[in-house]
Amino acid sequence: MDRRGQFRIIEALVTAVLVVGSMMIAVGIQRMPRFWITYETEDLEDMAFNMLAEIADQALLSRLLDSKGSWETDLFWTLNTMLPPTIYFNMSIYKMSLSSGGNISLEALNRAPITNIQQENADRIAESASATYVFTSPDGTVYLAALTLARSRGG
Amino acid sequence: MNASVEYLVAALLVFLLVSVTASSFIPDILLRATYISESQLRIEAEKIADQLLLHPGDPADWGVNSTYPSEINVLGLALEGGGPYDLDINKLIRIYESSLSEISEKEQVNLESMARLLGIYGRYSLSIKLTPLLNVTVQNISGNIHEITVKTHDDLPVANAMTRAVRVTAYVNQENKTVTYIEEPVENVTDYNGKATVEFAQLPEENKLGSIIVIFVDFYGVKTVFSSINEEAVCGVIIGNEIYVGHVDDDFNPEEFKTRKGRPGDPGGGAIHLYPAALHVTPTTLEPTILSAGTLQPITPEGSANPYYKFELEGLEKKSVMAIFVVKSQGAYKLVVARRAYNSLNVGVPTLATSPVARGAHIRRIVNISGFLYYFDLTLWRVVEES
Repeated sequence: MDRRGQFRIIEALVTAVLVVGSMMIAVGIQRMPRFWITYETEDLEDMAFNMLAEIADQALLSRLLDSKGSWETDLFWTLNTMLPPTIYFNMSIYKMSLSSGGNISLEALNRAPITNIQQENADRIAESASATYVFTSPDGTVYLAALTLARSRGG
Repeated sequence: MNASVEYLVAALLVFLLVSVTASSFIPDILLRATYISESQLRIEAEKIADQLLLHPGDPADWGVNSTYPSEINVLGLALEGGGPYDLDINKLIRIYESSLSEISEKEQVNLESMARLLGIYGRYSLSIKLTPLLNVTVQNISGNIHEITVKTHDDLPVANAMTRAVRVTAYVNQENKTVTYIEEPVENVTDYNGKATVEFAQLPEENKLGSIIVIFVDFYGVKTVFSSINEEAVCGVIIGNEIYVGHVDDDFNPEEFKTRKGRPGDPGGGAIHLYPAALHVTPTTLEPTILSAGTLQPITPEGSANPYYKFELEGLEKKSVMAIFVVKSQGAYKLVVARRAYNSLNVGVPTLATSPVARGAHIRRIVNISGFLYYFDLTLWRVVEES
């Protein structure tokens, strides 16, 4: 094998390494849209709004009017039953009031957290989305319900 | 010799280059292509779900007032004037009731018609499944004792759910031309295991036509319904204020029959002077309604030779889960049950022979049908062209 042949082989080897390396680097640094995250989050948003729309009339309103009962616990079990086990939720209910100056104030109504998120599970949340729903009781009181849904990592 | 070695090494390098490129990049490209493909399918599925669940369609009352799918301009299942995710049971019956074309003048809006109206025919196919939010089953333990089990669809028992079981047993007295319905409502609460036991009364068997059991479940405002119907019952269909029955004997005149409603031990308690009458089963009671303008229709649009009988219902309860009445069919008196709430509904279940599913997108929403909550599951997949 003469020297010219050896150089050709070394050249080819270096070229191959350069081509493969540059392609791998190009693929590695490019940022493809992470569709699964994008659409999973949208799905959570839709799910949260869908849930609020369904429970506002049937489960929520009738219990808010009965302020003596432990409606927070009732709502917890309603959400816990309707949602898949891999979904975490946190719900807050506010009473909306309009002041004379035209400002809207929110008064938190739930006396206890309506959530299944434990402190030790907080780091397992992969993504979350929220939805709000405004509804009115027959006596004219305006309520705002905010529901945050989170999907657990590996759920 | 030296040149041969050079060629061999060069060929080896080329082979290595191609191998490394293929093994590194093809799976990566396929994975990304899959994400893109699935996301496109998911976008399409979400568009279709929103179209079906949030739009009443055009005309908005197509479930009642259209006869053929060609009369529908835009397909939507939402209840006209209802809230978000409130569905119209008439539209669902038009889609799901496969016997509709045989026992009425209305044609079923089948899967092909749906795909054409949604503009996906030939490109995508879909399946739609409606299941009650809570999984309710009933089992006869012994005699008149039944065990109701309430679970989630993840198989978790639902404790503390209010259950109201209503058994309605129908009797016919041919001599007096009287139909008697015995109503037995029994309530109980599910235990930690999601089970509740209900016991009905022992009723006489003489002149008995059959019975139905309807179970209403209320779990902190989440309401579902389940019904168990005697196999010998004849199925009817309600569309709007019209009720259709497949076959009624010529010598049967429903206007000759008096209807009574009672409780066990007091069968004649509530005489209903309506000729003829049907009973609506609602979550709270049995509501009588008059059947009027009963007419025998000659032939269906499908060309079937079987005539069908059509009544008009004078008032349809919004919360009605079924209407029941008695007809004479093929020489025997039979209980007719026309449902307004189903235990589950399926359309477009893919089969391997008709539409192979390569990859599908699935959307789940919660919908409200006549006050009861259901899971609406839409699966969309690309149609694989046959070679």
